[in-house]
Amino acid sequence: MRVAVGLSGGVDSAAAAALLADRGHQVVGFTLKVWDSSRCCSLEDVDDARRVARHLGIPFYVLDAHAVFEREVVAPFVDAYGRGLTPNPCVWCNRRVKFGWLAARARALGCAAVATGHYARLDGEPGARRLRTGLDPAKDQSYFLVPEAVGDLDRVLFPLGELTKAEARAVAQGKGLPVAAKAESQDVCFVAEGDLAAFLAPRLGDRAAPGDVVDRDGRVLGRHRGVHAYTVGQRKGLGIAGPEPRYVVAKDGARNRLVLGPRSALLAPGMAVGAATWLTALPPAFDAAVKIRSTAPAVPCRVEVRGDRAAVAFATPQFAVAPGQFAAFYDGDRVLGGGWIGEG
Amino acid sequence: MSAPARAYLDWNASAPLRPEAREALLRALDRFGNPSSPHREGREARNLVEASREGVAGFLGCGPGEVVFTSGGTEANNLALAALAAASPRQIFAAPRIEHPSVLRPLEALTRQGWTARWLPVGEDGRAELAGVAPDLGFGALQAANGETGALQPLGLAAETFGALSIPWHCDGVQAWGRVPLCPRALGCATAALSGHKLGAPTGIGALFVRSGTPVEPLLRGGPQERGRRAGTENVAGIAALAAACRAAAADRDADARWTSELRERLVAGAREVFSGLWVNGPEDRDQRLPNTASLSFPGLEGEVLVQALDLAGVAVSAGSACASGAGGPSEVLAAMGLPPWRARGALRVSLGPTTRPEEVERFLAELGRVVSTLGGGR
Repeated sequence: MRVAVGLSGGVDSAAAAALLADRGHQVVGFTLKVWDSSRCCSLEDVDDARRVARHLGIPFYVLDAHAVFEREVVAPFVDAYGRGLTPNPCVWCNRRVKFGWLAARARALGCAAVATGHYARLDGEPGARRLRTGLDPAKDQSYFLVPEAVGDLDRVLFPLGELTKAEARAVAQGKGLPVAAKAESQDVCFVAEGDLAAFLAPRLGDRAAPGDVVDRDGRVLGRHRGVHAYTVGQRKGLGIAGPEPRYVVAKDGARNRLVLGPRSALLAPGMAVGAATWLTALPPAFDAAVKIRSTAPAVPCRVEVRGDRAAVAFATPQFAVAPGQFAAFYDGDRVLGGGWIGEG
Repeated sequence: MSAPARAYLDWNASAPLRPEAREALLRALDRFGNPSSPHREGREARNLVEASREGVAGFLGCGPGEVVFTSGGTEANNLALAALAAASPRQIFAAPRIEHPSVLRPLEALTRQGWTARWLPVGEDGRAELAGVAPDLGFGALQAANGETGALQPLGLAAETFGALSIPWHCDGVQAWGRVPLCPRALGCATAALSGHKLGAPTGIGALFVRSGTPVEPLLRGGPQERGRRAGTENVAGIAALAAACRAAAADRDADARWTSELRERLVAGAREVFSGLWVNGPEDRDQRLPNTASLSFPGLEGEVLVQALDLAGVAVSAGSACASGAGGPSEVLAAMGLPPWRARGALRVSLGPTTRPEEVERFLAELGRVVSTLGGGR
């Protein structure tokens, strides 16, 4: 069948394309131009993607996705920071841009599926697709791939799900793909040199204004340079001296205040999750493991579901649960679903 | 009859090599001498360049001394505009925004150096108007034909208007030469650009007509080649191929125009049968457009998607102009014509050439029908 592969110019998507071509699929490569002057879709990366396509002998197109990326990823990202949240743009990008916009575009070109170089597995029939962790625990990216609706994964392929990073690199090397030795990318792709505050400040305008730093009783301790520049759980760089270490425990976007407290105040017994997607039939209450950050391990919890909302009780209190981040629920290697961590 | 492997209907982007050009190119590749060298090998190369210059001059309708070989249309346009700007006593230019990027970008660079732009109005049919041409202008620019819509520009009127005010002007003839008559000397323009690969010569060779007496500061400085107007060892084989392509194009021009015009009419009529809501961009009158070009807008569809779907189905056509990364941008030309954004987004350019076969047009129509029904386009 004809399959669209999103080629980023990196080694993972190149290996994914190579594997699909090996399986006899008619592979078509796409690179999305989502942002100018960023690391992720520089002309150099587009050239790398084009070299991969040339090497594999597949058709290749560059798509202008600036508008959809701005609308579905960047604008909500900036807005969330303005509200004092800590958003995860990669989840939005996968949902709306890759599984949404790119999948529709690929369908229009007669592609039966869209593949990416993510480390995760899919099984089950269309309509009841099950998402599982990538077999390489060090590379598992299932956290970022929880869809907005169950059916969104029906026409998606993750060819690297059964592979380790080393094996994927070996596939690329074995094919002599020109990007086999390329380094990994990690940070938010559209933020230049990881300087988040500098990216956000001009876009937030008034909402990046300095304001008061307060303790949990509302006593003013000092000034902050815009709540967007801080992270829940942050201790360094607060510029507030005191007898005991103090941490950012909350970002109050509405009142433009940064709330500090002791470490103990950052330990949450549970959290509320909203706008959740459930990928399988679940009882009203169940035990699971939950990842509250892309880099955090999954920790045991009890989940009580009420429609697309859930009340989550951690088995042991968790540090720095950040509203706006994504929470993904697991039963072993199966992804049960996920949703957005709420305020309070 | 078996279906052709591919249907190539994007001649305005680049044309297949003409057999005459291929032959001249291959023969010239063994003339390895440097045309500036004083020995026999150099002389032979020089003789080939100068004989070719005479051939190209004949095609352009000018003297050999008025031909400057360049790396292509883009360099020719840049060289011309730099020359006109350098010689101009007044820092005001006039041009329509439907010019090729290799005209628009240098003009925009002038505005950053303090020049005033007087953008000429463009009608909905894609033809520029000369309103705004006044004695205070330093120079003007008007293309002969638009590569996206095929609209022939009012060159006669431009010649009169600029001529009456003695304002030097540049004519980008890249899309016109070989398709319609174009004689820069008769027009009185100071400079005019020619591109080889639109005519069936290889990419990487072009020429600029420079009317005798027009001063030209070189963009590339170095040796005294091209009478000091363009330094660098000549592209001997490219120049020979260009002359051969010009000769062939001139000999076949009117027959080619009739052939492509007929195929174009069939193509537009067939496309209307596939998609009745189709809009045809550019002038309706045959005398006001290139014979080989059709710009079609499909309401509700995106030109970029159509181009990719047709490519995967074996048909090469084009949407808007391509950017450096290869991602399609909105068409500057259709926007400058004042067309609504959907007409620019949904635009497809189909351009034909002398060796286009009727089967290729039928192949295009059949695949277009399939693609449109897949995309759910309105009949």
